[in-house]
Amino acid sequence: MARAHDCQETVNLSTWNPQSLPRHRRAEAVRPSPPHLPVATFARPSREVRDMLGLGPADQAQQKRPSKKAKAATKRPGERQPPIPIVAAPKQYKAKLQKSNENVRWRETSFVNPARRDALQLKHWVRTILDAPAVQPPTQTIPAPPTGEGEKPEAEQDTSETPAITTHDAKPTPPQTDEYRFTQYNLQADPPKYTDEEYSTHLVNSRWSREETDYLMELYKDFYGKWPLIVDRWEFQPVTKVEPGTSESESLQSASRSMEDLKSRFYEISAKIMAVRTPVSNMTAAEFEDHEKMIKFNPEAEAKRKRAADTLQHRSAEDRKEEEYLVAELRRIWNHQDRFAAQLKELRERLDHSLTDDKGQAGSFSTHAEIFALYQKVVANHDKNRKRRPDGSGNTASPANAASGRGNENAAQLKRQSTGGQGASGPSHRQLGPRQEQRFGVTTVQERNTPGVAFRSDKLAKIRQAKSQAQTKKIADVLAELGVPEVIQMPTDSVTVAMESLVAKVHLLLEARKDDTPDISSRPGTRNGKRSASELSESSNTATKRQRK
Amino acid sequence: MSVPPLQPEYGADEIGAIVLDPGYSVTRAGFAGEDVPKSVIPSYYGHLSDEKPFLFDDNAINNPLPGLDIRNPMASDSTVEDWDTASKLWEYAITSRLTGPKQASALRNGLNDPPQNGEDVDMDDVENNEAPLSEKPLLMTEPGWNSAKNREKSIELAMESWGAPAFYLARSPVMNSFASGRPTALVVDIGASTTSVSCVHDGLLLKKCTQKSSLAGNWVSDQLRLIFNAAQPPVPLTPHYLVAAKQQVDAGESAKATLRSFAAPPLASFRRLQEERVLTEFKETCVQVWNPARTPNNASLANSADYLKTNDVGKPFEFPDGYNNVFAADRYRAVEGLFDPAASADPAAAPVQKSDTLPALLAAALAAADVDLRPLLLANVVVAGGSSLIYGLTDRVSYELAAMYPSSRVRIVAPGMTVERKYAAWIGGSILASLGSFHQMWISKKEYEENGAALVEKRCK
Ligand SMILES: Nc1ncnc2c1ncn2[C@@H]1O[C@H](COP(=O)(O)OP(=O)(O)O)[C@@H](O)[C@H]1O
Repeated sequence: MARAHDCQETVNLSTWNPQSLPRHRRAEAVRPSPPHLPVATFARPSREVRDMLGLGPADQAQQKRPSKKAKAATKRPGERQPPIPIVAAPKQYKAKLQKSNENVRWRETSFVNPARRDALQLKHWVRTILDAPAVQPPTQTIPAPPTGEGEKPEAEQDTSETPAITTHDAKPTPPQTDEYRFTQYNLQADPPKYTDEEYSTHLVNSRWSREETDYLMELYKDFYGKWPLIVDRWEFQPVTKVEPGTSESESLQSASRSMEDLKSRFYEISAKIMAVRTPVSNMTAAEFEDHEKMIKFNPEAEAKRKRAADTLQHRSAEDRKEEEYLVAELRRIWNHQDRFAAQLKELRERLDHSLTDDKGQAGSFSTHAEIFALYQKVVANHDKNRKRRPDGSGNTASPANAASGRGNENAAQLKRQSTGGQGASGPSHRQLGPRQEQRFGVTTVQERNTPGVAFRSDKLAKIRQAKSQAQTKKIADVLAELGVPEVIQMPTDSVTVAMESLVAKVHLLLEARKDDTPDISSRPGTRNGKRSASELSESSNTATKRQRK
Repeated sequence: MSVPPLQPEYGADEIGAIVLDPGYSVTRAGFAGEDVPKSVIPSYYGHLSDEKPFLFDDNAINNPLPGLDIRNPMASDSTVEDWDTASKLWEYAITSRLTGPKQASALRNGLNDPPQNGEDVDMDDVENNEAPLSEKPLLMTEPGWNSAKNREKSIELAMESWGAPAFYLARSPVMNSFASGRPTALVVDIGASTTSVSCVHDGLLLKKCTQKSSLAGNWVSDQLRLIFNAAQPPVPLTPHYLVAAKQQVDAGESAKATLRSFAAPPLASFRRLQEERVLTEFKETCVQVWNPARTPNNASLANSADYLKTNDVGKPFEFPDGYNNVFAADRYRAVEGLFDPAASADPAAAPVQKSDTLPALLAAALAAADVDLRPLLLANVVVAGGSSLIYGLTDRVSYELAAMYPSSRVRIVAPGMTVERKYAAWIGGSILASLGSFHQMWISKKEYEENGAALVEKRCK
């Protein structure tokens, strides 16, 4: 490892100077390498290596020998010589005007463009360097290009008195033997190709004839796959003879096709040919993606989208203003939600953290973290069951929804958060079956009027409260009489339900008593009162029994 | 030239091609790669007699020779009508200022020899003169609605009569958009005889979007004639050649000029062309397009009479005969018909079809373009042509488009320089014909011989 790493460094050193390194690395670079490394071989490839690579002998001029001064500077007493000559970069002065002694001329030269199928010779001016200085004044000679086939430019035939220059070896730069440099821009669209057999087995479509399909492929190639152009130039005339009697509209009908029509046919063919050539299972990710895209092309949806875009483009300035206003409003709301979401996330992270910490002593729902986590899951499940809009439209969800109220907003945010977080924390939440749900007391809350986390015990405390203090006291008295403890130890779902019904009955009782208060107070234990009391004790029994369970 | 050429950053590779852009009023020709056409001659020509059927160039057609008839080889839709004359005219445009008659070597051209036999004509030179383009590839522009027959005629002319080694026929809307450096554009071209709106996508014309009408420069001139005639008192339109001497008169006073009389005057067409010159001057200096955005409530021209009275001082103009006046509302009225048929100079006598107005053309062209393309086209509206130089026209086009597509960003690309606007199509051709990557598109002589003229349909898309 270390060896390979060092080698790399040293190889680089030959072209590199330490000044370019940050200061702390410079020392490292100058430090001699450990003795066991045959660095030199790497630093300057030996002759054998060069032979093997077919490089020819090392160019002496290129590998600069260090000057004496540089050698003295790097050589320190008692230290090994660094294996690599380290030469400080010479100071750079402004480049001098490069005056070459070469005889440089611009010459009009013929060239052939390899992108053309014919050998059209056009002439352009290129900079040429003559090996020897021309003695004669410049003439109109046009040297034939080295690649040119025989045919000499006419100008040369016209002028007869210029042997001196044409005999010089004219070296045009860039050399003519190179590919014409603009050939690289010759890009072609390549539509899928199919054989007759492939067509008849895979590609037959009742709405497209073979001729029309071929025409589509041809146009695709002619117009480099640019759909607006293909549609624009679509002039397909079915070859089938139009009977003199038939109306012209019939033959014209097939002549006009929408872009969606053409695209869907083209993608259909491309996808099928692709699948025929490489089975879907063997496709690379990119290929598969393309294939998917082509398969999923939906002309109706596309046409619908275009219609929508069309109306969108034509909406009036007022509409646009209104929309802008709404968008701004929506953005404001989203911003607010984002902040809220961030806070919530932080909170959740803390809760999740404590949940994993407490794992050992899990089993009761006494900690907030447990309950909160459960709540989250419930909401997540609940959300999943509801039909949700696709993500794209989620961003542009109608502002009215999002803005309808703070409470809702928060609740929605919670939901969003929990679904959003599912991807990350999903695996740690186990799915519970109905029996387990029962066992752990997990219930799905149908309606919720307060946002955030609520505890069942809160609910139990709440139902004891009445509008007036006196009434609350009365309820407490009745419950105390029935032996219901003030704090219910285990507020499971069933206990809560029982408690609720009990309290409802207490309310009824108190209501009934209120009507004939004097009677009750004067004659305690009337039938009415007794019956209610016995009923109550019964239900309180069930409540306590369940609690014990 | 001792500095080596830089790596090709942009793809120019000059091959000395000639670019020819024939228009209804002006024919432009020049070498590809140059900024402006070297040879700009009127498309009108003079016809004197059967011996002198073709008098080309400014000097000839503006000289009031007896019986001179001014004609034009172009049809009113800017395509070629009279091919024989057009080819002569173009040949003149090319040889007079670009290639010239072939220069033979001084040793052999005979000019330095003592005259031995006066009839000695160098046959080589004659041949070279006959094929004016024997070494130059030719790129020609054509309107977007050119017929297939006309297109084949062009290549036949270039290949057979002129001996061009290579040829290409480029659509002028595309050239207009290239001149502004846009591969995709909505091109508004307002020339002398046609106004056209076309969509160009990635360097190719969308044929089905192309819209044209005859409300262009010449129509504006006619509107001016109607306005001048209807004025109280009528504004006399006396061209320069009729005026021998003139005197200063006050604004609105009738002219005090001595007119020339001709024993054998040129024909009426000559006078019309001369009037056109005066009217062009008027269009250049006075005519302006009304912009509703100027008034607080976007009032149309018809409803802005009061606004104009208080806010527009008008522009003075002096005619060749000395008549001069200040024109206020009339200078707007001359072009308003291009946008609003009801506001044209004389809706009863010279009605304007609503479908011919510029907003209608724009709307139709855009409606024919693909929905997804429209925002791109609106962001690249190229305005070109000589008559688009009428003051305020680009602002109005922008206003109309913004009204039509309020939710899209409209951006007008109109060269500020006069020549760039007038010669836009030529400049685009000049750019194209000097692109290295374009040289594979030329139709070579060999290909032409193998495939015939129909190749032009396939290659010049
Ligand atoms: N500065 C200008 N202002 C208004 N109109 C002008 C101006 N310059 C030229 N024109 C008009 O433009 C027309 C010529 O435009 P051009 O684009 O050359 O037409 P074409 O291409 O059809 O020959 C003529 O009708 C001329 O009157």
